[in-house]
Amino acid sequence: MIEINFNNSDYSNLIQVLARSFNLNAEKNFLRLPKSIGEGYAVSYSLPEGLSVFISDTLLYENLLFHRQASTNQHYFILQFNESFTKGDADQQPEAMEQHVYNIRRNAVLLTSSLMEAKFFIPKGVRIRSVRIILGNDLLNSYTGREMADKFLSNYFAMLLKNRNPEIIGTDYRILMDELIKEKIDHPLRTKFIYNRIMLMIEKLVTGFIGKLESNDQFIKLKDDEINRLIKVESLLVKDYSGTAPTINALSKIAAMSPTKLKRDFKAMYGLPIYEYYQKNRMTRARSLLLEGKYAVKEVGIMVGYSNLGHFAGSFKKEFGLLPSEIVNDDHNTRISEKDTHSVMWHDK
Amino acid sequence: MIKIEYNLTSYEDMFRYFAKCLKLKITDNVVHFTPDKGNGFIKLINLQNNLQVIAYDCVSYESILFHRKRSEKEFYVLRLDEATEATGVTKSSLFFGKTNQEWFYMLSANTQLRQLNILISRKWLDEYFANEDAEQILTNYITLKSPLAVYEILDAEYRRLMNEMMSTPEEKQFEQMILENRIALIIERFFTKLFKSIENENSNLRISSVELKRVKDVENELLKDFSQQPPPIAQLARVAAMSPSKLKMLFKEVFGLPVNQYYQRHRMNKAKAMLLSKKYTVRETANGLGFSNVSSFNKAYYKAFEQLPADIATPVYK
Repeated sequence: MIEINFNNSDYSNLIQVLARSFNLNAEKNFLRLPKSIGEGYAVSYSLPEGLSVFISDTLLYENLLFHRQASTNQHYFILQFNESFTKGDADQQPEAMEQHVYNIRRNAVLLTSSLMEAKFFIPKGVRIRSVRIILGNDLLNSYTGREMADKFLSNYFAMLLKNRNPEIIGTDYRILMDELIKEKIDHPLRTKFIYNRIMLMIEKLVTGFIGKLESNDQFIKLKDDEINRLIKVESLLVKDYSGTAPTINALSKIAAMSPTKLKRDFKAMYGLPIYEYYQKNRMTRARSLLLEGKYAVKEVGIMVGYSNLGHFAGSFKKEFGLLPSEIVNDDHNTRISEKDTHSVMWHDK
Repeated sequence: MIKIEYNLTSYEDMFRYFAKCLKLKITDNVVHFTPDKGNGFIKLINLQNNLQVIAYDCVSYESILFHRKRSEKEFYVLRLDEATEATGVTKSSLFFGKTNQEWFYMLSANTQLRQLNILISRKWLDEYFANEDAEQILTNYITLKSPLAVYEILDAEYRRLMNEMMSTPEEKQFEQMILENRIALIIERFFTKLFKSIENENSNLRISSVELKRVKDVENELLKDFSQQPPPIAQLARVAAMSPSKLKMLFKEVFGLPVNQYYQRHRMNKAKAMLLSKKYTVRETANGLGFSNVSSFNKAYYKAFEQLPADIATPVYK
């Protein structure tokens, strides 16, 4: 097992630490893993308001333990989103029992404080896509007001200490993660693009958590092991839309639960019945592909598994109230003339 | 009709001024229409990042004419607008312009208006573009383009963002955060699209910066005085120091319209502005813009706006 120690509030420093530990050269905050260590890459960005972001998509050949030492003089938070994909069904990861050791597969969404020590275990042989964010203590205060920030933080950490899992990765996070987890983010306003998506992730975490807290604790009351199996079902369900959706029977085998229990618990955890959830994610995926502006409606339809374009358009409209063609980014078509507005502009020289 | 003239570049001041003109009271940066005047509200929002926003979600029983006068300070306005008239017709658009230009916005009576105005200073924009790939192109564009007026369809994505802002839930605890993030996404989306469309335009535009400057000089010359006949192409070509055929081609590439149509478009916009201001009669407007008789003015006006000058010159009381 490799152990990496650090306690810096800037992720470009982590890239350097990783490069040193593995004897690699990091260029411009970008690190590619050589074949001897694993596959994939890691990249860091510095954003306005002291935000630091670390994005990675990796598969390591050896177990890795990140050890973040408690910092006494600086107070900031670390928010991470980790999505993992196992090839086989085997769940060989050791259950971490020590305090402050987080299994990133169980706590896929995790907020920790720099004042506490934290260890994150990254199992070998598992592909993991991550977005990690360092945010200053005052960022939450300024966005939500101090009172709300305190309420959120105290309740969140109380729950975490009781070893409960306050948040899971669902559709909304996944869309944002898909937009961010790329080797190179190709965007004319790259920093703002990243910053805005990071802020949405923070917004979602805070509003979602407080929402659940206030609607009388809709946090999942399931055993850890059951949660893990449901997470696996979910990730399988949304992995690929080009084929047909897995059957409930197949899923219930993977989850090792009866179909009835699977259906009930899945809905409790993700808020929708299995196939509605599948369909919603499929359409959301289609929507973000369309918004990227690189594909035609027909191509997107095929990418999300529709051979019949009419069906695709119908399902899309059912989900968003619009036809796919109505959201395609056609730059030649978006300019309109003044005649279609209520305004008149002129200029005197 | 209520007329509001302003050239303020502080939304704080403007908001107060609007409330005064409408004779409405401000509470907590919100103006609520009283039942005798309409319904809904106008709201001032100050964002963390020094942007100011005025949001409208209201109906006014009386029509309101907003007249932005030229301001020497360099500010930009991004406006998202969705207005459903009493007849059920909805017009929606996105507009981006500079405050050193004049414009009118006519809100007719009983129209359901949902509008967002974002006021952006030049300094803010410079910082926003700094160190981004798009920096050079966008900075040049907003500096050189004159008049700077971009109209776009208010597409589904913009409308979704606007909806998310307007319908924040009863508990206002996250309002600020939700607003900040949606405004940031709207601005990001607008400038991303603008960048892409400039890139598209420029890819077929082969023009040197010297030529670009000369074509702009020509544009200046052309719009200098509407009371006179427009200068003939030959004269403009001398201003540009290029052949008439080259000028015609470049002009169309830069401004999107042939020289004469461009002239006519701006002349008619000026006409509409003069009529809306109610300071000029139809005849005076026609004369001031170099039309020898009212009927040819009527004809030209109808061609441009599909209505007659008289339709807006005399206020319609309902």
